[in-house]
Amino acid sequence: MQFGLFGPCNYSAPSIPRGWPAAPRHFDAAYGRSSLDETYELFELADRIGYDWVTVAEHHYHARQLSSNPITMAAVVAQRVKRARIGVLGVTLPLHNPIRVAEDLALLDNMCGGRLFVGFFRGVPNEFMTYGTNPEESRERLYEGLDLIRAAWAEPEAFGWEGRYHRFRVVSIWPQPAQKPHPRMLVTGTTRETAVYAAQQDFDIGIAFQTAEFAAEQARIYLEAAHEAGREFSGHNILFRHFAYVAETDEQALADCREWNHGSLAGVLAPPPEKAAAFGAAMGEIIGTGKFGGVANMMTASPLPFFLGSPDTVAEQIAAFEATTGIGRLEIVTSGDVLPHALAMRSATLFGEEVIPRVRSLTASAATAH
Amino acid sequence: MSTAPGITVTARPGVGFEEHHVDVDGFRVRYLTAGTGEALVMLHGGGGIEFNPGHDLLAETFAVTAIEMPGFGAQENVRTNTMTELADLIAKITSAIGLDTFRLLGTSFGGSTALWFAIRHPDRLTHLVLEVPASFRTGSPRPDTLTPQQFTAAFHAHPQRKPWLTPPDPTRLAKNMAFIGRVFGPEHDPELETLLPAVFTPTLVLLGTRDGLFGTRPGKHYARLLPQVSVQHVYDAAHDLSGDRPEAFADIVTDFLNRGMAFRITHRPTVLNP
Repeated sequence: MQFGLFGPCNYSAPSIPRGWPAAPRHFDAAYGRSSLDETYELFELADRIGYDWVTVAEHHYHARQLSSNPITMAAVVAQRVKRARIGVLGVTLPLHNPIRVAEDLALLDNMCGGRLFVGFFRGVPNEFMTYGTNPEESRERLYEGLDLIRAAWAEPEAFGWEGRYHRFRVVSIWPQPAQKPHPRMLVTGTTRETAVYAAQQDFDIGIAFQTAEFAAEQARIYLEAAHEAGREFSGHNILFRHFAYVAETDEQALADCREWNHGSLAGVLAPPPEKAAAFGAAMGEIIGTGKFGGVANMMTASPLPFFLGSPDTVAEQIAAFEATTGIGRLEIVTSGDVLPHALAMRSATLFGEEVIPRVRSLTASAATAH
Repeated sequence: MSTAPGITVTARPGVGFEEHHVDVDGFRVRYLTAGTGEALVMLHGGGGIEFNPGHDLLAETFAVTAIEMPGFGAQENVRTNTMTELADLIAKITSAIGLDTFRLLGTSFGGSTALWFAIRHPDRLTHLVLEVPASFRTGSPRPDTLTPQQFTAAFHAHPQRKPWLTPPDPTRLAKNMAFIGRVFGPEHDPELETLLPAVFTPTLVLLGTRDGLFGTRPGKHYARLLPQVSVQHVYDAAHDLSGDRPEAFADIVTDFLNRGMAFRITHRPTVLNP
């Protein structure tokens, strides 16, 4: 099992507006700065104590997350994180000009010495409102954008693109990515269709905030489709992201999470009561236009972290998860906008120093036993 | 009838084309014409003349002449032995039809023929369009070696959107491939490599991102060798590129033929409201 740390780039301040979009008047630059510093500190810790990668994501108009552009964020992180790989998971591709994305990621891959891997996502429903993206076109725009980015990273000569959604008469991006043929690409694998598509296209998959049973089934579909496509993929082609929280004891871990409401995804987007009806209607409108399979599961997930407890407990949970799913890459979220930074640092430290070695020893002995 | 958003579906593409014949070098050459405007000559691929809605769209802007090359259709051809000879024969046929200078569009095998035409008769051309051209085809499968399923996958990204398709006729394909095999020359022709840098005709090369014969692999050769070229990837198009994306095909070809290499600069307005 390989391990990554996802840093949502939380905005931590005494008063955080609820709902989406966040009203700009609430932003306080002093807290913005301190929040970014805390994120950097978390990533530097992960790099120091042996996590395999660190990850940033893209979210817009979001009071709790500062990473509106994950590539900009990753460029700064890459200067501070010297060893671990850098995950941009991911770019919400239907929202953007794919050529600009391909250029920026190629530059980033050079900046970090070829440590980049990148996910391309269709988008969180509410964020289609950000740049006026038509949700009904989002899947097709994602697929076309992926083909275009891969061509822009692989073609040795200038070319043009006559797409369904994009037209570029001259494409010749410079710099090219440091990695050849290009940084490893990942898409979400939370529906049968996307898992099969990813396998056929030679992409890794990511599964976030789902149950172990769901993840296991998606992993099975993906690996089977890869085999049919002539690719021998393994659990290392699958990345699972979920909340984790580690304290010295199970009791302490549970008490911390209850006190700080840590581990709940549902709270992130919850609007204030007076805006709830309007937000719900907008989300319903967007989700109703397409098959956003993973969203419903994510919003009804347990309000406690998926992996929770003492180092021994969490190591056993992860070993069991690996045995159930066969997934080989685990990315944890152990920080939050309300959870005090010191507790997030402690949890991340215990996970890196205590849990990771325990998991490796558990899975090694399991392998020997077989 | 429409099977997908934005896709033009015509049950019988090419019905607007009128059939003619002309006698050249002892061949009775069949050709078809449609539309008015500047002259656009089309040279077909290895399957012979196969119209699709993209050709109908081109005939809305240009005076299109589709020539059935001797060796295809009903006309036997045991005398033409090289691409040079075939290009010279096309020159005679177009002269006999009364076409002096024109725009030339060649598809697959016809694209390679068009390229040789540009080498041999550059003064006759104003623009050259090569749709999935078959030169530099090293490592690509021969169509007549494919199973019907492989053939369909190589040629058609969305066969269900193309009601005009008829299944490939193995007898006709074998006959055409025999002719092509005789005249075609090597998969990667070093002579072509030495000649292309002197072809100054503005050239548009169209490659399908799902082309199961060539893919986009040959693009680099055209990009490196031709002095005035634009290589364009047409997304979600297989080897039958113009049939898979007829509107996109007609759009980009028309733009290029009207504006030459300046087609790379857009003048499309982006103002929403004044």
